[in-house]
Amino acid sequence: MSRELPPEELALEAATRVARADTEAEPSAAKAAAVYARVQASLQKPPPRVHPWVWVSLPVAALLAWFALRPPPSFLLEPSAAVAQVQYLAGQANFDPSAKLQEVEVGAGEHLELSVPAGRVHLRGPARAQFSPSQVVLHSGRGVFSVAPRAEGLPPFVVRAPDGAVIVHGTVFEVQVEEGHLGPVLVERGRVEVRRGTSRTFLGRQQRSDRGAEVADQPVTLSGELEGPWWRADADLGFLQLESTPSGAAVELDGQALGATPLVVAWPAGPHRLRLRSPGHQDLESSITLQAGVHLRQAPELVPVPVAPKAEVEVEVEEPTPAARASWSKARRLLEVGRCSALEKELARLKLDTSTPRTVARLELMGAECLLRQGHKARAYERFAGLAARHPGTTSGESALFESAKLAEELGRREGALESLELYLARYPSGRFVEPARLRRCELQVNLRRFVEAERCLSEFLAQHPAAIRGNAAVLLAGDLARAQGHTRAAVGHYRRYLEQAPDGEGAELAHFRLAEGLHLLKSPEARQVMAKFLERYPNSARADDLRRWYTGAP
Amino acid sequence: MVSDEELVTRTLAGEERAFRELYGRHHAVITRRLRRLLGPAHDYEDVLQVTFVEAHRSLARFDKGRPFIAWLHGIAFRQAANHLRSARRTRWLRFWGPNEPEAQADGVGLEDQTIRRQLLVRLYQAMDELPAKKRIAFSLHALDGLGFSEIGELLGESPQTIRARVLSAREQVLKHLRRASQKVPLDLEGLEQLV
Repeated sequence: MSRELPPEELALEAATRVARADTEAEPSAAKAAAVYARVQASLQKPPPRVHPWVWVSLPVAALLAWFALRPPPSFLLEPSAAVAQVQYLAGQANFDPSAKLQEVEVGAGEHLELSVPAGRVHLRGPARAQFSPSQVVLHSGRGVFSVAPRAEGLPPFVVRAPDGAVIVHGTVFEVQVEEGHLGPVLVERGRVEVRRGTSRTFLGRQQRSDRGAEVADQPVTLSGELEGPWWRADADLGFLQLESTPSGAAVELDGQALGATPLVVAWPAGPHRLRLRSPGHQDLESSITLQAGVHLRQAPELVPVPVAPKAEVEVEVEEPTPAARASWSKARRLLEVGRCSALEKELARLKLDTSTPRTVARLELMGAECLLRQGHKARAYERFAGLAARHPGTTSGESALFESAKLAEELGRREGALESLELYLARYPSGRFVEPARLRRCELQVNLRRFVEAERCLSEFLAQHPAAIRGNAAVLLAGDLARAQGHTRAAVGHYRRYLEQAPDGEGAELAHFRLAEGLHLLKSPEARQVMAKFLERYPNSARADDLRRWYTGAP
Repeated sequence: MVSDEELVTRTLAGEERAFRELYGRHHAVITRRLRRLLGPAHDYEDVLQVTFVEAHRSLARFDKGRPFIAWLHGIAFRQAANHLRSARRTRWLRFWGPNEPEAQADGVGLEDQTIRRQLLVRLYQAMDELPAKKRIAFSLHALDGLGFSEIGELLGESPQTIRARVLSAREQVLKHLRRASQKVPLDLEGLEQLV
């Protein structure tokens, strides 16, 4: 065998040979007889029986399953005011003649948000529907319905689907209609009763009823409040299509929050007051007039709020109202318990009441932090990065930039992390995280094997922060750098210095281990002594394995 | 010589000596397979014992159209897989395996002994990371030297499936060995001598 084989292939070949050679010999007769005796002894005993706990847990599990699946008691269903009946009527002839149905088609990839007296309808394209103030007919596609309790004197909200029925009890739910059949129904909040032919199913929060094997996505979160403007039941509707630059601006029509651009709203015809808000941009207010059945498209460009070029952090004071204070504490509580989607809604509400970029940034930071705490690192990263780009002049923007660098590193995007750190150091030369950012930059350069830069970075760091808390960490990093470059002797020196300076430091175990490793590689007589000290001090360390192997293998 | 099937019939008729004969015929090969599959850190004797106990208990279900040894292999691998799975669950309990691997080769120098032991530790650490099915296929191919179709017959799978499993396992093992030798380089000279 030649050296051309990569070392691991060589190692595999050698290891399989050793394993084969070691197990080639027949087991001794005595051992074989001993095992046979054990077989005989086991055969004397009766075979193992089902553990008694299994018998105990089976009825309990059955009871729990029954409890979870049974229909809810009637007293839970009765009191709700918003009962909508979903029924299929062939053709539209049987519809309430007083209702004016408007036809809507939503293209693939688009979505349409409608306000109806009972609440909100969010159609996801491709979809086809007809609606009036009091009823929605979903011919195909998916619709999310957010139904509020019915106001007195108004007809009940009716959603019609081709086959079957969904009885709503004041809730947020999604209905899908495919090829003329009522498809999956997914409940986000509240409770609905699904009727298909003669069968009835009750669905609660976060449950779904399926027809086929299709899996519906997570339910859409409807923006804005459930209380819509209670316009007249026979009102004529006009359409307003809004696309702003940048998109994502909060839309308010007559003071009511409708969601974010791009969006299409069906709204009673007549004059209205439109307001668009986007963080970092000046609010845009205008008057519009909708005509019945006419599609009005508006695509305004929002003017950015001028930002000071050198983005040192600004300080603003905003006096919160008692209601806002309550909202803030609710948001904080939601963040504590990790209910991110509820938090998002709360934040969106707060965002509408605030005008300072600092507060907006703080709100966005909370949303991103919630995602991070829940372990959604990739999504949190996107949020942090976006926030840092949009609000460079705020403390939240500063934190977000640093946080996005950390996350990028955790997500394996080292180059991106390094870029973010460079940006951070350029943007906030006297920021709060300058010291850790500098050290982390050096660390990343070591990891990216940019040794020249890393060396410069480290010497700069030690010069700029002679008394830094992380000074010791820098020494450890210098050791790692030397080690990565193969300068074992220098590395050993750095590790020694670290251990002298911080014998009980956070990296002491690693430094001790690396010191032993270096000495071992240098074949130093001191190696055994250092290893013994390590094993004595950290007998349970994960690294003790390797050390023990060298220790026993050392000459 | 009396056939395995005949011995099975006699065991079922209550003749214990017949089962002893079956054990005598097959324990050596099963032992070798298990030792190679499990490695020195696991107790192969336990698995060997449950294999024969299980075989005895399910003799009535043995299909005489199939070779006895293949059927026995099936039981042995099932038990080995169970053993590996439970060992994996309790791995965090053990800091150092109960039996530290000892490369036993007489007349081998101390230096060589160290390399051999190191190799075995690395190989079985790598195999510990494989799922049981892959590990079995890999062990039969790399350590027992069986072909894909032979293994397929033993495990009741197609040769293509076995091939895919073996190749994927080999990749994983090589990756582990590469990582390990980046951490602590091996003595290549010593290795070449072994190979």
